Amino acid sequence: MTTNGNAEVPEPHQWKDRLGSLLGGKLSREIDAFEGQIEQKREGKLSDEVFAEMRLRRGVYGQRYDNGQRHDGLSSRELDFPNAELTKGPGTLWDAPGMVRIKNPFGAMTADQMDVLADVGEEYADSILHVTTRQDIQLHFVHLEETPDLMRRLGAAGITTHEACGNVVRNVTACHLSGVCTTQTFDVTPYATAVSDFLLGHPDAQEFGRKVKPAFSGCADRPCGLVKMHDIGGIARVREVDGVQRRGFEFYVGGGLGAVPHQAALFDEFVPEEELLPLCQSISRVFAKLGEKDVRSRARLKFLVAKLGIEEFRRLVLEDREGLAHDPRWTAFLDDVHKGNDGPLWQIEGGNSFEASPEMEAWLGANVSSQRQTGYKVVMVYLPLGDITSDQTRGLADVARRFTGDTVRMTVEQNMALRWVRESDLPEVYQALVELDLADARAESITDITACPGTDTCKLGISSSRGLARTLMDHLDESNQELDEVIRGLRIKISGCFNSCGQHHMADIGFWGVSRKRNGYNVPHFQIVLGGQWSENAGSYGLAIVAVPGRNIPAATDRIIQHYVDQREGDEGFQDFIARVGKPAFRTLLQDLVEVPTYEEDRSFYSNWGDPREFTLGDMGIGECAGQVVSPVEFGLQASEREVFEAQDRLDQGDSSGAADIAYRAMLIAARTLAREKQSGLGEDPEEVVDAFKTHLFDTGLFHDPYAGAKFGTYLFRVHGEGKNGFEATPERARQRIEEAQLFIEAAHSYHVRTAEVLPV
Amino acid sequence: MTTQAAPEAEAPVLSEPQRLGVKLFLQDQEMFDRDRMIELFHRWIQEDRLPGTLIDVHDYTHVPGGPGVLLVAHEWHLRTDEAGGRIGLEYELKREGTGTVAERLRGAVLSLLEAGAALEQDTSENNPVRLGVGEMIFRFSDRLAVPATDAAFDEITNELENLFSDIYGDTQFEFERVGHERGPLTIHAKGLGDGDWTVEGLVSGARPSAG
Ligand code: SF4
Repeated sequence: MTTNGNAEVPEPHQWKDRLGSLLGGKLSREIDAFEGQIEQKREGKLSDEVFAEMRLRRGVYGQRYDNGQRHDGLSSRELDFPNAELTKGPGTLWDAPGMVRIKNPFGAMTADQMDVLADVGEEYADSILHVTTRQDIQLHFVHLEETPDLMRRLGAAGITTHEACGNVVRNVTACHLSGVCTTQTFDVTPYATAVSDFLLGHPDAQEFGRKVKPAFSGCADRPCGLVKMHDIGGIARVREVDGVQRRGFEFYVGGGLGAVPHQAALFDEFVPEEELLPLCQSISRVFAKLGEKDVRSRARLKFLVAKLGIEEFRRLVLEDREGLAHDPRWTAFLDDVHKGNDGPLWQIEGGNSFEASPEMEAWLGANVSSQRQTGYKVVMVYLPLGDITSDQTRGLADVARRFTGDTVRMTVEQNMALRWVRESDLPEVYQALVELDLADARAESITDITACPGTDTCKLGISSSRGLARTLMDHLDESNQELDEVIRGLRIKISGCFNSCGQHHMADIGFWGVSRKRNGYNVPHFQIVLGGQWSENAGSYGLAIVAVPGRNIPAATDRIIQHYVDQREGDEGFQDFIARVGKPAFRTLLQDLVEVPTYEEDRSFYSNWGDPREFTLGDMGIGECAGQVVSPVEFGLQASEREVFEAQDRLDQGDSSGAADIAYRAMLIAARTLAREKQSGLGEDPEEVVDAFKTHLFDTGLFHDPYAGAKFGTYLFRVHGEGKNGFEATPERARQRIEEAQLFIEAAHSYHVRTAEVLPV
Repeated sequence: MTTQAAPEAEAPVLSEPQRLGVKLFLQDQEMFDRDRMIELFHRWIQEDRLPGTLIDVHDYTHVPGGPGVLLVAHEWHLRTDEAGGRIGLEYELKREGTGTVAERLRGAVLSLLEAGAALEQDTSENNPVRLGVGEMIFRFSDRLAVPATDAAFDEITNELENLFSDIYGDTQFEFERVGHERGPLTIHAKGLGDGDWTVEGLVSGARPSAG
């Protein structure tokens, strides 16, 4: 008993007791077991590594500063947590707030689930639900010890965090319009559900070296499913077989973004629906058996497919498929699929005429589209940077109950879609959304910017992706009224580092965060990426053209847009325009924006957007060195970057072999620049340069990235080896080499920043 | 419709909340300046201006009705909350609270007043920010301990009356349940009459020794 004033009250009920009956035995036991593991870790009975994998598989992540170190703008400080000695992973403090990722297959939620998400977001996090580009929800600032209750509450509502992270099959994504889309071949929802259910916890999908991300799309042309950037993915197809219309999937494998993006390879033009689950099972088995396990940076499925070649990979998968023992679940779901569920969830009553205010007209134009079912609409709810409050979520749940037949889906552009809205209900829906501050008429426009968490919460963030996104939104808003329709439809996507969680490769205008040493200080920059294709399921990836200081990105964006407006021919699209004008023209256009004023002239260049602290890399907290202004190393690295740019240009002109050679040369220049500091008089012979780099920088571990380890250094050895062993430069392989050269040079910059910082002033 | 709040009939009415928020409103809503608040909160971390393990600052001002600028500490969150369309300063106890329900309420109010006093003081030289202290919002984001029920409302308002008599003397307060029907128990406390209060002046009344 505890006392409340004078009155005695019983101990509070526990969520475990309260929700036990709603959870189901298996889930309840799993969460209890996780709670037991937390206790074991606290008692020192589990290693950091083992416990970290356990919590990651349950969607419980670390978050920035969880090593207990933070640079406060003046100095690096230790965060004084109560359990200072206790850890929840390697270098991760027990009390440090963390992130929880919640898996919602294809982003679907019921109104009841939204209520529970609102509750847990408010109680255990900061009252914000963050929608990710993979249709998940993330909560930030959650304490480890509160996660079992959080999971119980979600579990009781039919939501899981299980396998939201870790080296397993992640959330299965699918177009948010599935079932209601005007261009779909058929509704992929039941297939996405079946794959999600089948692979969750499947014994054949537990031994991967890295994660596997699946996606489904109802058609080939539009971007909602983004199949070609996923590890496995299917685009809906119908084929006539023996006079019968059969459903199936154009099936892709080995796509992915990350540091080196890969376009998925076509596995089969038509996988019949009954083969979908066994095929996914066999792919899992082959990946588990042959995928890289030790070198994390080469462990994604894309590397296995690239290594084996798609033909050999296909052969191995089909061979495995032959030997699989039959599982009734492979086809059990199809009975329900063929019962058909394409009809309206609501009946239409009354007419559709209504008067709309100018604001509502704008909203109708930007956020509302027609369903394939006459009289029904999809209403897109724009969420700024994917964020929605708990209060708004509850309110939106009310709207979903009242107007949608209880279906909401999150989108890969971090918005929420209300489906099955009767046209006649639009005025009321609009009014309800206005009251919730959720009727902003900018969904899927240039100011609906996608950004990864970046330096806000991600441990790997270099530049502030969300800070830049907020700035760009405000900046573009000011000129929004004058924006041409073609500009309005462009997409901007931002990542805080090369890992591309913000999907910058597929944007019309993409940015990813890098750091540059300028005037003796670290300066946050963004690489500008042009030429990506969002449509056709992420049809092609863009390439970086130049790194510009963060402060100059709004100006650079204006110039790119204005150049397009001024110079485009007729109805020329943005991608065509980029291809016609060529990247060198953009580099010239932006050249003066690359300059960084001195610290004394403008200190704002030395901070991230939205963060007044002086910029430091990774909050390492080592004092700044203002001793050098421009070093020979900076010159050398800039020279290597220019070579990369040449390589990109050569690739654009169709010369893959020339492009690959130049990219290799760029890596050698960067390696030599650094190695020459250790070995004066080092010549230009590639063998000598690689040897010197290996001896002085790689074998000593000096070049290793604090997070990625030896990864970037090994790129040089591999590319150098390829030169000796004969390299067949296909466009795809040349493009990859350019990306790797870029990352190697980035790592050289980081090395330079790290080592320059410890020089005495 | 499911709500995971405790059913009224079986609820123990109240136990000690682990999480509890208190908010004061800005007197002049126009005085809110995002960049200034971000800078101020970062400075508070540098200076250890408030008790606790101060971690980081987050900008949520892009979210209408959201947490605004958020100062995250291990034990609490402090934010320029915009809920309900009115900007204020909200202190939310997140963990490590101690004592009875009354003691936790007092602790949260005191922490908010101290943070409010720091805010007023640190902006005093240029466009000072002033907080209105004649009304407060209490939000109990701990449904296990404080269910959103009429019985819990009654108990909490009893506790608040005791607390407010220490802080505000004889001034009467009216209490109203506000917020979404499925939201956490949220109470708007409003002083009747025009007291001549200041944030700084109320701090001493909120200290336990005065109670
Ligand atoms: S892109 Fe980089 S900074 Fe952004 S979330 Fe991914 S790892 Fe973090």
